Amino acid sequence: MIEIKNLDFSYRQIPVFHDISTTFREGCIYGLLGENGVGKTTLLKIISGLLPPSAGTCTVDGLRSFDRNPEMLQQLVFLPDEVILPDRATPESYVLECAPFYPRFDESLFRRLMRELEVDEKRRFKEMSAGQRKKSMIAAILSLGTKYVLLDEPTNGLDIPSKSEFRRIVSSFLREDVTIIISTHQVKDVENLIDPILILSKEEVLLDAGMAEISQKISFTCDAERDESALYSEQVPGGWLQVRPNSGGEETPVNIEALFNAVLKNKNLVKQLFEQKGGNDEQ
Amino acid sequence: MDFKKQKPIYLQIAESLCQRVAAGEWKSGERVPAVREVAVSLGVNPNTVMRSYDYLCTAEIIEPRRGLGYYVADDAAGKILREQRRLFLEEEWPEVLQRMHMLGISLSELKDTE
Amino acid sequence: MMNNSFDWNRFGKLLRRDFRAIWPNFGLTMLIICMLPLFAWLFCLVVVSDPEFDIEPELRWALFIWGCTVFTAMMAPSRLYKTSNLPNRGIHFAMLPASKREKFWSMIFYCMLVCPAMVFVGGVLFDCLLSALPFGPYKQWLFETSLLFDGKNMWQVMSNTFMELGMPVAYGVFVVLVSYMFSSSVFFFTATLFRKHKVLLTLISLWLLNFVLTMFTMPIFTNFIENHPDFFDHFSNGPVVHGLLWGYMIFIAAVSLLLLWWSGRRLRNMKY
Repeated sequence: MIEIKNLDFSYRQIPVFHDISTTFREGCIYGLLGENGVGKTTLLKIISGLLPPSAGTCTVDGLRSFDRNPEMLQQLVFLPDEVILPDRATPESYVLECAPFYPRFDESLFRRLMRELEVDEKRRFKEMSAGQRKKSMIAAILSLGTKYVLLDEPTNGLDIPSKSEFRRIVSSFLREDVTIIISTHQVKDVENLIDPILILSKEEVLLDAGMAEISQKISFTCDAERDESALYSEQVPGGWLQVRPNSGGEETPVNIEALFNAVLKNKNLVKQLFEQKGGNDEQ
Repeated sequence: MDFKKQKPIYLQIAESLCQRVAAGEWKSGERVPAVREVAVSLGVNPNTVMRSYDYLCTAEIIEPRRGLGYYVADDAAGKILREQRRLFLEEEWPEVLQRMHMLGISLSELKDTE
Repeated sequence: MMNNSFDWNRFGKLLRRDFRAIWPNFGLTMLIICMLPLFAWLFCLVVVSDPEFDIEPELRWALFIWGCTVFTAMMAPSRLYKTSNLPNRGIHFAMLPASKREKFWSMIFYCMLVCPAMVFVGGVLFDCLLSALPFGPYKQWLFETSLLFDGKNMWQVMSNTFMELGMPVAYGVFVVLVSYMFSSSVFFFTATLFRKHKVLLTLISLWLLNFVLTMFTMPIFTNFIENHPDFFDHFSNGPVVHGLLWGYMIFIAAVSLLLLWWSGRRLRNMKY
C-alpha cells in the first residue's frame, strides 16, 4: 500500500502540493488525472523516491520513499513519459541487466510481451522509433514483476493497435497484490481500465473515488435540452452531454472526460458529494 | 464489443454474457470464461468484470464454484428468457405502443408487414 | 529489523553489472590512456634524431605509467557515472534496487581502484613490450634502476628530497598515496556536482580555487614574514619540520575523505 499523508511539495519556491493525503491500495488500477503542470509526474516521482516531500510523508509498504530502500525499489517500477535509453543497448540487454535485482522477474513474460507488441527485443534502441522504444520499455518493466507499477503517459506515442494491446496487457497484469497507477491525459485510451480515479488540481486532490461510487453519485446523460443547473454541459452530436448529481439511482456509464470537466468547475460540490476519507467502506 | 453510452460497462458485459447463455453457447452446468479472460480480451479492468459476475451471481444466472470458476446455473437460459419477456411486455412494448399512437399506426397495419 | 543497507549478495550483483557497464562507456578511453607509453615512444622515435636517446625508467614510471593511472582516476567518475546526477537520465541509476551505500562503494571501487589498476597494468605491459624492441628510446626495462640515480631504487629516489630532511622512505610512499587519493576524490566529488563537462569544469574550478587562495593568502603570508623575520629559523628544527610535513599530508588525506563523504551524502539525497 502506498500512503501519502499531509504531503507538501514545492518546486523552486512554487507550491505544487499542499496537505495532500491519499492511499493507493493493492489490486487496483488507479487513473491519475489533472491539468497540465498540476504535478502528476511530480507525484509519481515522489512515490518512486526520486523527489523528497517538503513536508508530510510518502511511504510504500511502510518504507519512506525518498530513502530509496532496496526493499522498496525491488517492488516498484516507474516509467517516465520520455525515457532516454543507451543507444547501443537492446531491450533484451536492458532488461537482463536489471533482472538480477528483481526477484520476480519473468523472462518468458518479457519475450511474450515483446511478441504481442510486435517489437524485436534484439534490435538496438537507436534503430527503433519512439513508439517502439516505449513499447519495449512497457514490456521490460512489466516483466520485472513488481508490486507497484507507475506509468506516466504510457499510451503517448503508441499506434492504435498497440493501444488495444496495451489495455489487454495491463488488464492481464493486474493481480490482487499489484497496484498500477496510470497518469494520463489520453483518458479515452484507458477509460475502461482505470478504477479508482484520482483528479489532482492546484495543490489539492479534487476527487479520489472508485468508478462504482462515481456512477452511483453522478449521472452522465445525453439530453435534447440543456439543463442550466447541470455540473457540466457540452454540446455533442445528438444533443447535450450533461453531468449531474445522480438523483435517480440508476447508474450511467462514466464519461471520464466530462467528469473531469465537471469536477474542475464544481470543486466544492464534488468534495461534498464524495465526502469520505480513504476507504469506500463507510457507504 | 462496443460500449454504448447507455448502461454502465459492468452491466453491458453482464448482458453480453446473458445473450450468449440464452443463445445456448453454454448450457447449465458448463463453465463460462474466467473473469481474467474476459477482462483481457476486452481490455478492461478485471474488477469491472468481477462486478459483472457478482451481478450475474445475484441474479442466479451463474454460480461460483470454489477454485474452479464460474458455471452456468440451473435453468439460466430460462431465467434470462423470462426476464427478457418481462422487460419486453412491461417496458419495451408499452413504448412501442405509445409511438404507434403518436404516429397513428394501427395494429392491422403492422400485420400487413409481417 | 532487517538491515538492508548493505547486502554482500546484492553488492556482488551490482559489481557485476557495473563491470559490464565499463566497456561501452570507458573501455576505449582506457585503452587510449594506457597507450601513452606507446605514443611517447613513437613521438621520441620520430622527433629525436639521436638513436642513443633513452628515457629513464624512473621518468617513464612517474610520467607515463603513474600519470595514466591518475588520469584514469580523474576521468572515470564522469565517464562511468555520467548520469548519476542528471534529472531524467539518472532515474534508471537511482531506481536500481541496490542500497545507496552499495552504489556508492561500487562507484569508488571502479573509479578509484579497478579502472586505474587496469590502466596501470596496461601501461606497464605496453612499456615492457616496447622495451623489448632493440631500437627506440626505451632501452632499459622499467624494473631496472637507471645509472642516473646511483643505484638507488625508485622509491628511494622519490623520497630523496624528503629523506634529506630526515623523513623515512615511508613518507614518500605516503605522499604518493595521498596525492592519488586527493586527485581521485576531487574528481569523484565534482562528478556529483557538475552536470556536464565535468572534467573540464573541475580543472577550471581547481585553477580558480588555487588562484583565489593564493591571492588571499599571499598578502597575509608576506606581511607575516615581514613582521617576523626570524620565522624561518624554526625550520632548521627537525621535529617541527617533520611534524609539518606529516601534518600537511594528513590534512590532505582528511580533505580527500571529507570530499568522498560529501559525495556520498550528495548521492544519497540526489533529486531527480
